Amino acid sequence: MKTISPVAVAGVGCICSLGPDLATTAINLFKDTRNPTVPERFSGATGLAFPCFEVPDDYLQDLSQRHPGTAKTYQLACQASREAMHHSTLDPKAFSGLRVGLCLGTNVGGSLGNLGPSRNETPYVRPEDRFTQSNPTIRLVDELGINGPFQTIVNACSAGNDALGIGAGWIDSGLCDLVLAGGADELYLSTYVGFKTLFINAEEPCRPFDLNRGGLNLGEGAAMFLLVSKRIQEAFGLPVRGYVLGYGATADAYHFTYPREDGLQLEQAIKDALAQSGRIPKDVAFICAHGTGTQGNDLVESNTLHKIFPKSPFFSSKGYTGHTLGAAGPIEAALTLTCLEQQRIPKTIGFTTFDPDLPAAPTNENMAIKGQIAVSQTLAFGGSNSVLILGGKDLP
Amino acid sequence: MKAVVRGIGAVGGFGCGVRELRKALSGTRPAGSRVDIDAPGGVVRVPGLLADTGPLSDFVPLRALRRMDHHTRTAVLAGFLALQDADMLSKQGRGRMGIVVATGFGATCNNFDFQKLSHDDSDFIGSPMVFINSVHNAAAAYIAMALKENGPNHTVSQYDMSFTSALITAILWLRENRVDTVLVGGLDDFSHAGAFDLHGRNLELKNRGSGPSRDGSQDLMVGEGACFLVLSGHPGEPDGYGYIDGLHLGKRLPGPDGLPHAQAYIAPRDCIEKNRDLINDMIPSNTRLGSCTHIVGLMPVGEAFDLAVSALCLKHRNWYPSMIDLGIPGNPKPNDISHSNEFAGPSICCFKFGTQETFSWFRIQNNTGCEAKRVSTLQAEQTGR
Repeated sequence: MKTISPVAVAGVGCICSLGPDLATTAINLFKDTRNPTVPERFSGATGLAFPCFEVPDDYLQDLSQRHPGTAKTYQLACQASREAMHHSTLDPKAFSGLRVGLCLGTNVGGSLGNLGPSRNETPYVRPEDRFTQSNPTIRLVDELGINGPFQTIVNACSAGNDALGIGAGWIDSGLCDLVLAGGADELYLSTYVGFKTLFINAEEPCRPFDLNRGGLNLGEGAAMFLLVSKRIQEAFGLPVRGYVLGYGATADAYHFTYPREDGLQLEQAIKDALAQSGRIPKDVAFICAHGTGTQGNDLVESNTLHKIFPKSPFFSSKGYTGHTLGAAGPIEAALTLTCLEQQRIPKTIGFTTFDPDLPAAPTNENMAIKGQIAVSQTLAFGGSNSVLILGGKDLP
Repeated sequence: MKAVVRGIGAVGGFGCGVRELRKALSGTRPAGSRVDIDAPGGVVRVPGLLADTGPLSDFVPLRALRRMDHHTRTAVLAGFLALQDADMLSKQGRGRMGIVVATGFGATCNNFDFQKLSHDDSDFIGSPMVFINSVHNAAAAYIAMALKENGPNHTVSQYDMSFTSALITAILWLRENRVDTVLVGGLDDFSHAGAFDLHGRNLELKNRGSGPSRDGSQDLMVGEGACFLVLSGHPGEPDGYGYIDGLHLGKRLPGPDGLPHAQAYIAPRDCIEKNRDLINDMIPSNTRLGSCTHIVGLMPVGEAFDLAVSALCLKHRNWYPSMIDLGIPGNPKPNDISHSNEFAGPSICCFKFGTQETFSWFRIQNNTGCEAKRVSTLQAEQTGR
């Protein structure tokens, strides 16, 4: 694996149940409160009553007037992208002279969300329209004036982390000057019911790494990063909120829904990410774990983190945001940069009782940290492991 | 960064494997099947080019197949065929390998079974297998499991601009030394909605008394299948079909400079028909313009087959007979050279205009320089020098 130069993050946008923007989210991350509810949108249709972390409608700016019928996934992605652009201070008019890419991870936004009006209903929607209308990337290319490559990654729960890693690669390779990278997903009936078939929805607020865990809560949201080349960052005087330092990705090739129990491929993904960043484990101040609150995930992550980072604290934010699927990696990367900036990490809300089967436990209180490098990782359906090494803005 | 095409695995309405693909390109177009689809007013029977995944049992035990749906089976079969063609079925031979799947329609092309089930008040237990197979990275994950391949595993789904985007990631991984080889491919199911749509348009043309179009696109069928390619990053080596030396994906570039220079161009037949004037301006004189859509059918990831066909043309120095009749009305460019089957290359550019004014191309070069080096080495060995 070649090492890469740090890829600067000039702006971050984030929307999730914690807040409509990154600043609000960063404040609420340390408040030790949460309120997942049964989703209003489709609970009546299913009779199921699993708590979820919805993004309230009043968090969203009114994009529906400009794009009638747009999916919530697109609206979430668009709002987070605009926030990232705003924070970067870069005028979108500058795009015309630059090569700007878009790399977005999603699940519902792939074509799962294209059920829409079926053939037997009116008005009839042509197949190509059905697919393009449900895809947030294709719409964002138009909305934001993206003129370079674009990619919709549908790697289940690691899609967003992969989008950030690949977006950083586009900068490092010189393919793009700027890349908007991140992920977005809305709560969707198929995933809500689908997780039920796997018996991994919790019936109460989730408890990652806890002895009495009951599964996961779904959530929704988006986070987008404006990644910039060093040349453009310096030429435009753009702020730096942090860095993407390395990215590792592996496949368990073991089971579709259960992680490989020995964690070997998660370990390999961490090693690859560290190798690409040119860093070593002792450089890492903390880890933002995937921490879904399912038995398989908690066991593998705890074992692996204890093995590689025995002295670094870790936390899960899923108890605050729910599992936002394709958006999970970018939202957690945004929280990781916030933690590096504030030099503190949150308690793992929901974790109260140590599980003796796990070799390591997450944070149970908000705590101060010292350092400018952190790990954020996701594990996905299909056995994908995706790991990012992130640097704070004061990275030496 | 250049990426060498080392192996091709193709499954579609034409058959299975490189030999059957070449046979179809050289001879008559596949007859296609008749598919019954639900439509307003009742069942409609439409033509389609369907893939048979029966040969997959040559590679994967039947027991392991039982959980794979047709979508996944098609991908796994094409993946195995590509590795077999590259002589890389053995894990040792391929080093660390990444897997990249492009799928325009995704895993839920027609199969809204799970979504319908979700709306059915009577049964919310459902089948976990149906749910699992509705997740878009199912095919890529099953390929990894079938091959026991632990490299990065990636799926791209953005309708008609999926394959070139996937190719960008494949080449990036090679450039980063993240992997030694990449198995990259396009995969799509037969779209009932797409076939119904095409059938309706053709009926309308027929009812209006329109004659057949000049390029025959009116006779096209919706297709399905998968085409995978094994790529590595060592263009100096003589093996392989050729190497990809450039690609582009973005909003449409206006004007005649939008495509790189090449001796031939390949594009989806429907794309050519819709953009005749633009293409006329973009393609230089004395070059060829071809398509393999009549062999594989219309599908969002057709460029994967375009790349495979380009590689075959370059390796075998052949422009296949069924590809040569795409003259653009009023354009003399595909002139007398189009009647020759010989094709010296050295390059072919595949391009596509997508929805929302998107545009992509990639160019593949033959390994002429490498071949000359190999011949020279061989001659030296034979003469004892």
